[in-house]
Amino acid sequence: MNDASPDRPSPRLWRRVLPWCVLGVAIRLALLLLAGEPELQKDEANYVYLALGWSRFGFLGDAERFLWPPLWTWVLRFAMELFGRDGLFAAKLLLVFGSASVGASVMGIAARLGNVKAAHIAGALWALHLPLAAFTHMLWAEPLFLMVLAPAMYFLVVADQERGTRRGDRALFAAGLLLGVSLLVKESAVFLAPLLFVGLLWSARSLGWLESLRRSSLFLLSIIAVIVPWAVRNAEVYGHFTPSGLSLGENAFGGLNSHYFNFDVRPLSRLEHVTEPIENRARPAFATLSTEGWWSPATELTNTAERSSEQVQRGIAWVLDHPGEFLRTRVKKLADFVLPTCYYLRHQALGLYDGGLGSTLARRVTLVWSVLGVVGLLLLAVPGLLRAWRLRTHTSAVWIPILCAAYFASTCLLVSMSRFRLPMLPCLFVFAGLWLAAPRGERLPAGSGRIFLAGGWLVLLFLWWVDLPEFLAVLELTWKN
Amino acid sequence: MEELRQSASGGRRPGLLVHVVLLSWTVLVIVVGLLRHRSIADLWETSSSGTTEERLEALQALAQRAGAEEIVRQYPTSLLEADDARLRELAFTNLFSRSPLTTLQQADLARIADPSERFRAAVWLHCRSATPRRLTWAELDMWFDEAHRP
Repeated sequence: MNDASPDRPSPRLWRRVLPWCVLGVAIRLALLLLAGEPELQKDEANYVYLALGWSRFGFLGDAERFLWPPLWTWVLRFAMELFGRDGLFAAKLLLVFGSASVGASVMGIAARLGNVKAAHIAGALWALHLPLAAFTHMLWAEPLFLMVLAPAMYFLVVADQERGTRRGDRALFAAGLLLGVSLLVKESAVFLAPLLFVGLLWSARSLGWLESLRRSSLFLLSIIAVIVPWAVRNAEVYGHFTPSGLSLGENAFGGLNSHYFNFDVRPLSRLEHVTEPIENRARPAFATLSTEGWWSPATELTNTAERSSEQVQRGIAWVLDHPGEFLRTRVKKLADFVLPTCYYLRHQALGLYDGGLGSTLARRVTLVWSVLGVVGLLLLAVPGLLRAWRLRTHTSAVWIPILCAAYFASTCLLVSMSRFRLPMLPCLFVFAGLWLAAPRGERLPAGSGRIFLAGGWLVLLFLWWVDLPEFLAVLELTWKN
Repeated sequence: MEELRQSASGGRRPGLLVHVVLLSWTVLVIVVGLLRHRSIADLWETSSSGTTEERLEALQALAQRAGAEEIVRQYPTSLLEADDARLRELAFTNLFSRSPLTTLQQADLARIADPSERFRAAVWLHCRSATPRRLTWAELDMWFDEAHRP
């Protein structure tokens, strides 16, 4: 088989890449066992609180300022009803073992768009990426979200490569169901669904528009079928149709406003020896450090849906009133998005680990591992993206990870932190795998490709420079603890 | 015949059966939702005269759909007189914290006689009030095991 020709995953391929899944799960399990019992952080505590409330009162409440989709809270509730306090550990175990679905999907996509070598590389990157692996011993919803989103992407790739067949239709159906389930975990993919629908419509146009519409509508209907009971429930409780969650207004308050925060660094300011908020170190050219033009949240509205909608309106009004400030602060959002830190380092800097991970040696080794992992992955992803872009002319379905990566990157323009980078990671592993597995002569792009490659790396370096003051503070606090 | 054979072997190409099933399911859920829809007047009635489960469910929707002034006229203080522990506890959750005028505070906890119930109400109150809302492991220990409670 030619190095650059796509491999259709066979049982043999799955067996060959299985060790990466085993390694990835083993690393996550080790982290869980070494973590001890870190103090619950903001959203983690909120999820547990909502799960207890659901168990006690029989309904899922909202977090007052926003409504989260129900699935992660339901998992926590179910686990606590089954195992009591140990249910939270059981839920983390579910995340650890369930994460294998992300690894398998990443390798499946890389094999289909590239070859077995690309699958191995992507699988290794997934297994070893500490900032992602560490999330499985925390109680945020992202790992569960990725557990269903990554397979959805894989099935979409299958469907696009085998369009017009029953197998392709089954894959499309599965992709729709899984994406629907992902919307019951996190709201962030809500606008991705229609984009993928349009992409599917366009990609199968050679089959005729009617057939193309039949296929893409199968995908869309599968999503709707999953979320419609939740949406109807929300219409009854809130009086407004809500397909997934209601956090857009809160994010508009955070991101389209005259203030700046980044939750990768904000909690570190509560450390005793930190005398000034770390966010104050942000370069003023890119961050809003004054509150002039700040708008307040719509607390006068008691209805969560109406409050969210009103805050979105206020955010848009702020953008129209402050176009210059909006644009320059978007640079900061992008910089925060690619900042080589993560929640794991935040936990370490706060000294939250009371298990083996809290030792000085483990802290410093994993600090280096984590930072190098992010830096390396982002540097590889740039040529990887260019490689994927070039492949699109003769390999179908490459547009799917490109679209997903672009979508999740664009969400950071509203509110940004390293946690919001997680949904994009499967695409970055695939891109990096595609590039490193390419034949040697094809790795370095020719002509304008070289300019884009150099430009991409320069942009990345510039964004790291923008966040350098805060990044140095994170490094220092984590190293010294 | 050829088409059937291809279809069975994973070749070309199915029809619209799955579309119809998915669409029917979606329509069914929406119709059932519409049939079960309750007006605000219905919710007010259920919130005071239904079973505990019905009252809890109605109160959740009322807290969102009724105006703040209307809801504070009735709740949450009156819930402290309810005959079910869950309704009394509910009074301390963030369901009613949107209106600071009637939000129950620490002193109101004393009106709950049962220590277990008072503990749970205190957890709701603490989680509602703290910024960020912070549930601690110690509270979880106490939640699941009375032996840990002070």
